[in-house]
Amino acid sequence: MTDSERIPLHFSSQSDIDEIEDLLHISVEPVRQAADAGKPPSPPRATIPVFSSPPPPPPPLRSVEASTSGASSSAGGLIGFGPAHTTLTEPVWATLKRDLLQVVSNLRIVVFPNPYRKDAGRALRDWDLWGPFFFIIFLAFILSYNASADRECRIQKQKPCTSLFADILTYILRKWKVCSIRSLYSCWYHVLLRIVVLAIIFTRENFPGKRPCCCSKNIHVSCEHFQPKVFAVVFAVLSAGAIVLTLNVVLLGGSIIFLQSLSVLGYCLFPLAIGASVCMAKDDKIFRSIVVLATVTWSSWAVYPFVSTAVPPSRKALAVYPVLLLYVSMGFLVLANN
Amino acid sequence: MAEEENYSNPLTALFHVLFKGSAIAFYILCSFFINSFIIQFVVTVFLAALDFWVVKNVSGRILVGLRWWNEINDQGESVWRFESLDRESLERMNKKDSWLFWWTLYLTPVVWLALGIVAVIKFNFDYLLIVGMCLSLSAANIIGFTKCRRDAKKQIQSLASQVVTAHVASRLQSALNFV
Repeated sequence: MTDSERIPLHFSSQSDIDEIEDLLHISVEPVRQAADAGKPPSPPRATIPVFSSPPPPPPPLRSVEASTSGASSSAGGLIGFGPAHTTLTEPVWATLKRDLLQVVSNLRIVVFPNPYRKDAGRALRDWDLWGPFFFIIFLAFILSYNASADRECRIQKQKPCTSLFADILTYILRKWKVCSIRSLYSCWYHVLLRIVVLAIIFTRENFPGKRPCCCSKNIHVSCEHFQPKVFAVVFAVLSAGAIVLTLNVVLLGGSIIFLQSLSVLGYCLFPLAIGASVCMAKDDKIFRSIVVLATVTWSSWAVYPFVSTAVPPSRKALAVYPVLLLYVSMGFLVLANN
Repeated sequence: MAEEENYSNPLTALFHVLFKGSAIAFYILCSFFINSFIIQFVVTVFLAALDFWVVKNVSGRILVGLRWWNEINDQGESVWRFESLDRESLERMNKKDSWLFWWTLYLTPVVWLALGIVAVIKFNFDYLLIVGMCLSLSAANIIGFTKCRRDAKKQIQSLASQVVTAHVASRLQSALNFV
């Protein structure tokens, strides 16, 4: 008798509900405990058990297997595939809840002070990209709100140009030092990215096309508070920037997992998002400067251990500097937004 | 029998197709009704992300019995995990369900690619952002599920050979016991 024959195919819906409730209780507690004591354990999650011999962990809700394997004793490796209407509604809600809890716990690990940031690689073991996704959209949304037409066109041209010069300068500096070819390539990535952004902006300025853009319309239209260009540029720069920065770390000889570092860079946008929304409240220059300064410092402090521990110590500055540059540029955008 | 010809999980199949279709439909039709790029962007990408989540966590499980995810082990390496049902349950899966699943999964990025080409021709590079995001989300699901299916087939083959050898060994043993 192989083990596969012992695993039943269908579950009764009642035991589905029991397991879901068990898992909910178990998953909420480790997240709470993470704030007080030990290392934040990843909340025990369920898998569909495999048909081979090791006792499969409990059932079917979420992705990622339970790293705390003794999580749910009742399950003993059974698949919950009941009829669609019982497993579609409850697990969806439970899975959603668990995803949200994971986002919150990841946020807490990355952005707020806690003792587990020293061990950077293990701290964000259960990375997810939902948090960064929401933060990027939120930040782009806020920055595009009420951006006045002529000012935002000017800002878009300025920012990539200055960054382009900064990258060329970095490239020249690196060439004078003795360093490996790989870090030169990472400079090229930055330069290329800036050139691409500039090209996009250039074509959009000169070939507006049939886009619903406020710049080409009458500025006195009252309902057009949002500037689509700013939104698109911010979104593109943030997402492409995160990818390029990760490539930068990899090319500098660092050991980092691509998606995990994307996740970290995205979560560290959280302070900037808060800063942007606070800045929307008041128009005072000094107030905005203070808020932007504070949030940029917070973002940089949050991201520093993750990036610096990933590369060899001699290359630390080369890896950290572009990240700080990205956040400072975002801070300038927030500051200049009116 | 008439039972076998119908979808056995109509609600899941509906949701599987719903978000994909509505993302594409919204993208195409939105420019006629709503004049704001941002709303179009946010809603389309949000629908695509919802579709990604639904396919990965719900309809993949229920319609074809496959699941994939990524985790980071204690050594800090990223590990891709694939899991699937055992062979009898896989065979018992509704053929129509799995046909629908795989066909819509592969068809979606083709449609998005076509829409992306249209956007390039029109010089709407903003809209390329939307298309890029939706393409990457569908590509991720395709890669994950294809790898998962291959892994499942490999496991089934190895399990089958294990079963056969175990069976032969037990037969041999019983034969020898009689002798």
